[in-house]
Amino acid sequence: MHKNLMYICFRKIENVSKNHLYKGTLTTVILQLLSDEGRMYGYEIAKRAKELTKGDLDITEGALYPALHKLEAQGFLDTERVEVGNRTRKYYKLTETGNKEATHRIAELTEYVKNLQNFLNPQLSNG
Amino acid sequence: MDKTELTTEETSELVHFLKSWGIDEPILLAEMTDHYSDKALEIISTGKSLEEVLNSWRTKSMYRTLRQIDAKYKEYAKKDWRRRHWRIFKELITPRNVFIFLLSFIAISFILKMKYLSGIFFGLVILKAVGIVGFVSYHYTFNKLKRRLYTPTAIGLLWFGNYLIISHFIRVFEFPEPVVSTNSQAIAMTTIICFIFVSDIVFFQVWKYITKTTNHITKEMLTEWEIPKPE
Repeated sequence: MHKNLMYICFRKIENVSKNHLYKGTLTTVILQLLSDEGRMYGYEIAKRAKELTKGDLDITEGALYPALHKLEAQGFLDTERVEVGNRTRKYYKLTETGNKEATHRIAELTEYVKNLQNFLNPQLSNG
Repeated sequence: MDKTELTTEETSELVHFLKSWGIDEPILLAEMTDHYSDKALEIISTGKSLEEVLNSWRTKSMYRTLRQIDAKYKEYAKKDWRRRHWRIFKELITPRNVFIFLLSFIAISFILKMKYLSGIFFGLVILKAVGIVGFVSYHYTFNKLKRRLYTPTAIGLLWFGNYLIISHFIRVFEFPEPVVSTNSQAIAMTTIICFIFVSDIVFFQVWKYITKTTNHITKEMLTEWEIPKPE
Protein backbone atom coordinates (compact mmCIF):
# COMPACT_ATOMS: atom_id res chain seq x y z
CA MET A 1 0.00 0.00 0.00
CA HIS A 2 2.75 2.38 1.05
CA LYS A 3 4.79 1.38 -2.00
CA ASN A 4 1.84 1.93 -4.28
CA LEU A 5 1.27 5.36 -2.84
CA MET A 6 4.92 6.24 -3.28
CA TYR A 7 4.78 5.02 -6.88
CA ILE A 8 1.71 7.17 -7.59
CA CYS A 9 3.40 10.19 -5.99
CA PHE A 10 6.57 9.68 -8.03
CA ARG A 11 4.58 9.25 -11.22
CA LYS A 12 2.72 12.48 -10.43
CA ILE A 13 5.97 14.37 -9.75
CA GLU A 14 7.53 12.90 -12.88
CA ASN A 15 4.51 14.01 -14.90
CA VAL A 16 4.57 17.52 -13.45
CA SER A 17 8.27 17.91 -14.20
CA LYS A 18 7.83 16.59 -17.74
CA ASN A 19 4.89 18.92 -18.28
CA HIS A 20 7.10 21.73 -17.03
CA LEU A 21 9.47 21.13 -19.94
CA TYR A 22 6.63 21.68 -22.39
CA LYS A 23 5.74 24.99 -20.77
CA GLY A 24 5.97 27.80 -23.28
CA THR A 25 5.35 25.52 -26.22
CA LEU A 26 1.65 24.97 -25.62
CA THR A 27 0.42 27.42 -28.26
CA THR A 28 2.85 25.99 -30.81
CA VAL A 29 1.66 22.48 -29.98
CA ILE A 30 -1.95 23.58 -30.48
CA LEU A 31 -1.16 25.35 -33.74
CA GLN A 32 0.80 22.34 -35.02
CA LEU A 33 -2.03 19.92 -34.16
CA LEU A 34 -4.60 22.12 -35.87
CA SER A 35 -2.33 22.53 -38.85
CA ASP A 36 -2.13 18.73 -39.15
CA GLU A 37 -5.70 17.78 -38.35
CA GLY A 38 -7.67 20.67 -39.84
CA ARG A 39 -10.27 21.19 -37.13
CA MET A 40 -10.33 19.91 -33.57
CA TYR A 41 -12.19 20.52 -30.31
CA GLY A 42 -10.60 21.11 -26.90
CA TYR A 43 -10.84 17.61 -25.49
CA GLU A 44 -9.59 16.13 -28.75
CA ILE A 45 -6.53 18.41 -28.72
CA ALA A 46 -5.62 17.39 -25.16
CA LYS A 47 -6.14 13.71 -25.96
CA ARG A 48 -4.12 13.84 -29.19
CA ALA A 49 -1.25 15.69 -27.48
CA LYS A 50 -1.18 13.02 -24.77
CA GLU A 51 -1.22 10.23 -27.36
CA LEU A 52 1.58 11.74 -29.43
CA THR A 53 3.82 12.27 -26.41
CA LYS A 54 2.95 8.84 -24.95
CA GLY A 55 1.34 10.43 -21.93
CA ASP A 56 4.08 12.94 -21.18
CA LEU A 57 2.16 16.03 -22.14
CA ASP A 58 -0.96 16.21 -20.06
CA ILE A 59 -2.62 19.49 -21.01
CA THR A 60 -4.95 20.60 -18.23
CA GLU A 61 -8.19 22.46 -18.91
CA GLY A 62 -6.82 25.45 -17.02
CA ALA A 63 -4.02 25.78 -19.57
CA LEU A 64 -5.73 24.54 -22.73
CA TYR A 65 -8.86 26.68 -22.86
CA PRO A 66 -7.27 30.04 -21.98
CA ALA A 67 -4.67 29.29 -24.68
CA LEU A 68 -7.37 28.46 -27.25
CA HIS A 69 -9.42 31.53 -26.34
CA LYS A 70 -6.33 33.73 -26.55
CA LEU A 71 -5.46 32.39 -30.00
CA GLU A 72 -9.06 32.96 -31.06
CA ALA A 73 -8.97 36.55 -29.75
CA GLN A 74 -5.73 37.15 -31.61
CA GLY A 75 -7.44 36.06 -34.80
CA PHE A 76 -5.36 32.92 -35.33
CA LEU A 77 -8.27 30.56 -34.81
CA ASP A 78 -11.76 30.42 -36.19
CA THR A 79 -14.55 28.50 -34.50
CA GLU A 80 -17.40 26.35 -35.68
CA ARG A 81 -20.18 24.84 -33.61
CA VAL A 82 -21.62 21.41 -34.26
CA GLU A 83 -24.46 19.64 -32.48
CA VAL A 84 -23.26 16.34 -31.04
CA GLY A 85 -25.95 14.40 -29.21
CA ASN A 86 -27.42 16.74 -26.64
CA ARG A 87 -24.48 19.11 -26.50
CA THR A 88 -22.78 21.69 -28.66
CA ARG A 89 -19.20 21.06 -29.70
CA LYS A 90 -16.90 23.96 -30.50
CA TYR A 91 -14.37 23.16 -33.19
CA TYR A 92 -11.26 25.24 -33.72
CA LYS A 93 -9.47 25.69 -37.03
CA LEU A 94 -6.64 27.87 -38.24
CA THR A 95 -7.38 31.12 -40.02
CA GLU A 96 -5.15 32.39 -42.79
CA THR A 97 -3.16 34.44 -40.27
CA GLY A 98 -3.16 31.42 -37.98
CA ASN A 99 -1.58 29.31 -40.71
CA LYS A 100 1.22 31.82 -41.15
CA GLU A 101 1.69 32.06 -37.40
CA ALA A 102 1.81 28.25 -37.11
CA THR A 103 4.50 28.01 -39.80
CA HIS A 104 6.49 30.76 -38.10
CA ARG A 105 6.22 29.29 -34.61
CA ILE A 106 6.99 25.75 -35.74
CA ALA A 107 10.11 26.97 -37.55
CA GLU A 108 11.10 28.88 -34.44
CA LEU A 109 10.62 25.84 -32.20
CA THR A 110 12.46 23.54 -34.61
CA GLU A 111 15.39 25.95 -34.54
CA TYR A 112 15.26 26.01 -30.75
CA VAL A 113 15.23 22.21 -30.50
CA LYS A 114 18.13 22.04 -32.96
CA ASN A 115 20.14 24.49 -30.90
CA LEU A 116 19.31 22.60 -27.73
CA GLN A 117 20.45 19.39 -29.39
CA ASN A 118 23.76 21.04 -30.34
CA PHE A 119 24.15 22.18 -26.79
CA LEU A 120 23.29 18.85 -25.15
CA ASN A 121 25.04 16.57 -27.58
CA PRO A 122 27.62 18.42 -29.68
CA GLN A 123 29.13 15.18 -30.99
CA LEU A 124 25.84 13.99 -32.42
CA SER A 125 25.24 17.30 -34.15
CA ASN A 126 28.78 17.39 -35.53
CA GLY A 127 28.54 13.82 -36.77
CA MET B 1 -20.72 -1.84 -23.62
CA ASP B 2 -19.25 1.61 -22.97
CA LYS B 3 -21.61 4.51 -22.60
CA THR B 4 -21.12 6.95 -25.45
CA GLU B 5 -23.42 9.78 -24.46
CA LEU B 6 -24.82 11.30 -21.30
CA THR B 7 -28.59 11.47 -21.00
CA THR B 8 -30.36 14.85 -21.03
CA GLU B 9 -30.81 14.65 -17.24
CA GLU B 10 -27.14 13.84 -16.73
CA THR B 11 -26.09 16.67 -19.06
CA SER B 12 -28.40 18.97 -17.16
CA GLU B 13 -26.78 17.86 -13.89
CA LEU B 14 -23.34 18.57 -15.33
CA VAL B 15 -24.48 22.00 -16.56
CA HIS B 16 -25.78 22.83 -13.08
CA PHE B 17 -22.49 21.69 -11.61
CA LEU B 18 -20.54 23.98 -13.95
CA LYS B 19 -22.91 26.88 -13.35
CA SER B 20 -22.60 26.45 -9.61
CA TRP B 21 -18.84 26.88 -10.00
CA GLY B 22 -19.31 30.17 -11.81
CA ILE B 23 -19.37 29.33 -15.53
CA ASP B 24 -22.17 31.57 -16.76
CA GLU B 25 -21.24 32.63 -20.31
CA PRO B 26 -23.43 30.51 -22.68
CA ILE B 27 -20.67 29.81 -25.20
CA LEU B 28 -18.12 28.88 -22.55
CA LEU B 29 -20.73 26.85 -20.69
CA ALA B 30 -21.45 24.85 -23.87
CA GLU B 31 -17.75 24.25 -24.45
CA MET B 32 -17.08 23.20 -20.86
CA THR B 33 -20.15 20.95 -20.88
CA ASP B 34 -18.83 19.19 -23.97
CA HIS B 35 -15.37 18.83 -22.47
CA TYR B 36 -16.49 17.55 -19.08
CA SER B 37 -19.08 15.26 -20.67
CA ASP B 38 -16.27 13.51 -22.55
CA LYS B 39 -14.16 13.43 -19.42
CA ALA B 40 -17.04 12.11 -17.32
CA LEU B 41 -17.83 9.41 -19.92
CA GLU B 42 -14.22 8.27 -19.77
CA ILE B 43 -14.41 7.88 -15.98
CA ILE B 44 -17.90 6.34 -16.11
CA SER B 45 -16.51 3.64 -18.42
CA THR B 46 -14.29 2.51 -15.50
CA GLY B 47 -17.45 1.69 -13.52
CA LYS B 48 -18.21 4.90 -11.65
CA SER B 49 -21.51 6.76 -11.64
CA LEU B 50 -21.91 10.38 -12.75
CA GLU B 51 -22.70 11.33 -9.16
CA GLU B 52 -19.37 9.91 -8.02
CA VAL B 53 -17.57 11.69 -10.86
CA LEU B 54 -19.13 15.03 -9.97
CA ASN B 55 -18.36 14.51 -6.29
CA SER B 56 -14.73 13.82 -7.12
CA TRP B 57 -14.69 17.13 -9.00
CA ARG B 58 -15.98 19.14 -6.06
CA THR B 59 -12.52 20.26 -5.03
CA LYS B 60 -10.75 23.58 -4.50
CA SER B 61 -8.44 22.83 -7.39
CA MET B 62 -11.35 22.26 -9.76
CA TYR B 63 -12.97 25.48 -8.54
CA ARG B 64 -9.76 27.43 -9.18
CA THR B 65 -9.39 25.87 -12.65
CA LEU B 66 -12.92 26.80 -13.68
CA ARG B 67 -12.65 30.30 -12.24
CA GLN B 68 -9.41 30.78 -14.13
CA ILE B 69 -10.93 29.58 -17.41
CA ASP B 70 -13.95 31.84 -16.88
CA ALA B 71 -11.86 34.91 -16.01
CA LYS B 72 -9.52 34.42 -18.97
CA TYR B 73 -12.45 33.77 -21.31
CA LYS B 74 -14.07 37.07 -20.32
CA GLU B 75 -10.76 38.90 -20.70
CA TYR B 76 -10.14 37.50 -24.19
CA ALA B 77 -13.79 37.95 -25.21
CA LYS B 78 -13.37 41.69 -24.56
CA LYS B 79 -10.20 41.79 -26.64
CA ASP B 80 -11.88 39.79 -29.38
CA TRP B 81 -14.83 42.20 -29.36
CA ARG B 82 -12.49 45.20 -29.74
CA ARG B 83 -10.48 43.45 -32.45
CA ARG B 84 -13.60 42.63 -34.47
CA HIS B 85 -14.93 46.18 -34.19
CA TRP B 86 -11.63 47.65 -35.23
CA ARG B 87 -11.57 45.28 -38.22
CA ILE B 88 -15.09 46.28 -39.25
CA PHE B 89 -14.17 49.94 -38.87
CA LYS B 90 -11.10 49.42 -41.06
CA GLU B 91 -13.19 47.53 -43.61
CA LEU B 92 -15.80 50.30 -43.71
CA ILE B 93 -13.42 53.20 -44.13
CA THR B 94 -12.43 52.37 -47.68
CA PRO B 95 -12.00 54.93 -50.48
CA ARG B 96 -15.13 53.49 -52.12
CA ASN B 97 -17.29 53.94 -49.02
CA VAL B 98 -15.98 57.45 -48.41
CA PHE B 99 -16.77 58.33 -52.03
CA ILE B 100 -20.31 56.94 -51.74
CA PHE B 101 -20.81 58.85 -48.52
CA LEU B 102 -19.70 62.12 -50.11
CA LEU B 103 -21.91 61.52 -53.15
CA SER B 104 -24.96 60.82 -51.02
CA PHE B 105 -24.15 63.87 -48.93
CA ILE B 106 -24.17 66.09 -52.01
CA ALA B 107 -27.26 64.40 -53.45
CA ILE B 108 -29.27 64.77 -50.25
CA SER B 109 -28.15 68.40 -49.96
CA PHE B 110 -29.77 69.14 -53.30
CA ILE B 111 -32.85 67.06 -52.64
CA LEU B 112 -33.52 68.69 -49.29
CA LYS B 113 -34.02 72.02 -50.99
CA MET B 114 -37.03 70.56 -52.81
CA LYS B 115 -40.13 70.58 -50.65
CA TYR B 116 -41.76 67.37 -51.84
CA LEU B 117 -38.80 65.03 -51.83
CA SER B 118 -37.50 66.11 -48.43
CA GLY B 119 -40.64 64.61 -46.90
CA ILE B 120 -39.57 61.22 -48.24
CA PHE B 121 -36.38 61.38 -46.22
CA PHE B 122 -38.25 62.12 -43.04
CA GLY B 123 -40.47 59.18 -43.87
CA LEU B 124 -37.40 57.01 -44.35
CA VAL B 125 -35.98 58.04 -40.99
CA ILE B 126 -39.26 57.09 -39.31
CA LEU B 127 -39.44 53.79 -41.22
CA LYS B 128 -35.88 53.01 -40.28
CA ALA B 129 -36.58 53.75 -36.62
CA VAL B 130 -39.64 51.51 -36.67
CA GLY B 131 -37.66 48.86 -38.55
CA ILE B 132 -34.83 48.81 -36.04
CA VAL B 133 -37.17 48.61 -33.08
CA GLY B 134 -39.21 45.88 -34.80
CA PHE B 135 -36.09 43.88 -35.65
CA VAL B 136 -34.71 44.15 -32.16
CA SER B 137 -38.06 43.34 -30.51
CA TYR B 138 -38.52 40.29 -32.78
CA HIS B 139 -35.16 38.83 -31.78
CA TYR B 140 -35.67 39.79 -28.19
CA THR B 141 -38.93 37.84 -28.13
CA PHE B 142 -37.91 34.75 -30.11
CA ASN B 143 -34.19 34.30 -29.60
CA LYS B 144 -33.37 33.63 -26.00
CA LEU B 145 -29.66 33.64 -26.58
CA LYS B 146 -29.59 37.28 -27.50
CA ARG B 147 -31.55 38.42 -24.50
CA ARG B 148 -28.43 39.52 -22.78
CA LEU B 149 -27.62 41.73 -25.78
CA TYR B 150 -31.15 42.94 -26.50
CA THR B 151 -31.86 44.24 -23.06
CA PRO B 152 -34.96 46.36 -22.44
CA THR B 153 -32.61 49.28 -21.78
CA ALA B 154 -30.94 48.84 -25.18
CA ILE B 155 -34.30 48.71 -26.97
CA GLY B 156 -35.57 51.68 -25.00
CA LEU B 157 -32.49 53.75 -25.77
CA LEU B 158 -32.67 52.85 -29.45
CA TRP B 159 -36.27 53.95 -29.72
CA PHE B 160 -35.74 57.02 -27.57
CA GLY B 161 -32.73 58.06 -29.66
CA ASN B 162 -34.68 57.82 -32.90
CA TYR B 163 -37.69 59.51 -31.37
CA LEU B 164 -35.55 62.45 -30.27
CA ILE B 165 -34.07 62.86 -33.73
CA ILE B 166 -37.46 62.68 -35.45
CA SER B 167 -39.18 65.01 -32.99
CA HIS B 168 -36.27 67.42 -33.26
CA PHE B 169 -36.61 67.47 -37.06
CA ILE B 170 -40.34 67.99 -36.85
CA ARG B 171 -39.93 70.91 -34.44
CA VAL B 172 -37.02 72.63 -36.19
CA PHE B 173 -37.98 72.05 -39.81
CA GLU B 174 -41.76 72.19 -39.34
CA PHE B 175 -42.49 68.78 -40.80
CA PRO B 176 -44.38 68.02 -43.08
CA GLU B 177 -43.60 71.42 -44.62
CA PRO B 178 -39.86 71.54 -44.21
CA VAL B 179 -38.26 74.90 -44.32
CA VAL B 180 -34.69 74.56 -45.39
CA SER B 181 -34.09 78.12 -46.36
CA THR B 182 -30.36 78.55 -45.88
CA ASN B 183 -27.41 76.52 -47.06
CA SER B 184 -26.10 76.05 -43.53
CA GLN B 185 -29.46 74.56 -42.48
CA ALA B 186 -29.41 72.18 -45.42
CA ILE B 187 -25.83 71.11 -44.69
CA ALA B 188 -26.54 70.63 -40.99
CA MET B 189 -29.62 68.57 -41.73
CA THR B 190 -27.87 66.50 -44.38
CA THR B 191 -25.01 65.79 -42.02
CA ILE B 192 -27.40 64.56 -39.37
CA ILE B 193 -29.35 62.36 -41.79
CA CYS B 194 -26.17 60.92 -43.30
CA PHE B 195 -24.86 60.31 -39.83
CA ILE B 196 -28.03 58.43 -38.90
CA PHE B 197 -27.90 56.27 -42.02
CA VAL B 198 -24.21 55.51 -41.69
CA SER B 199 -24.48 54.77 -37.99
CA ASP B 200 -27.31 52.34 -38.70
CA ILE B 201 -25.32 50.60 -41.43
CA VAL B 202 -22.41 50.29 -39.02
CA PHE B 203 -24.77 49.09 -36.34
CA PHE B 204 -26.16 46.32 -38.55
CA GLN B 205 -22.73 45.32 -39.87
CA VAL B 206 -21.39 45.05 -36.34
CA TRP B 207 -24.49 43.22 -35.23
CA LYS B 208 -24.24 40.73 -38.08
CA TYR B 209 -20.60 40.12 -37.39
CA ILE B 210 -21.03 39.60 -33.66
CA THR B 211 -24.03 37.32 -33.95
CA LYS B 212 -22.43 35.28 -36.75
CA THR B 213 -20.45 33.20 -34.26
CA THR B 214 -23.28 32.74 -31.80
CA ASN B 215 -26.06 31.82 -34.21
CA HIS B 216 -25.21 28.13 -34.13
CA ILE B 217 -25.99 27.78 -30.46
CA THR B 218 -29.37 26.15 -30.44
CA LYS B 219 -32.34 27.00 -28.35
CA GLU B 220 -32.12 23.64 -26.62
CA MET B 221 -28.90 24.68 -25.00
CA LEU B 222 -30.61 27.42 -23.08
CA THR B 223 -34.03 25.89 -22.73
CA GLU B 224 -33.70 22.14 -22.24
CA TRP B 225 -30.50 22.47 -20.32
CA GLU B 226 -32.03 24.85 -17.91
CA ILE B 227 -34.50 22.33 -16.57
CA PRO B 228 -34.65 22.20 -12.76
CA LYS B 229 -31.79 20.44 -11.05
CA PRO B 230 -32.58 16.75 -10.52
CA GLU B 231 -33.13 15.69 -6.92
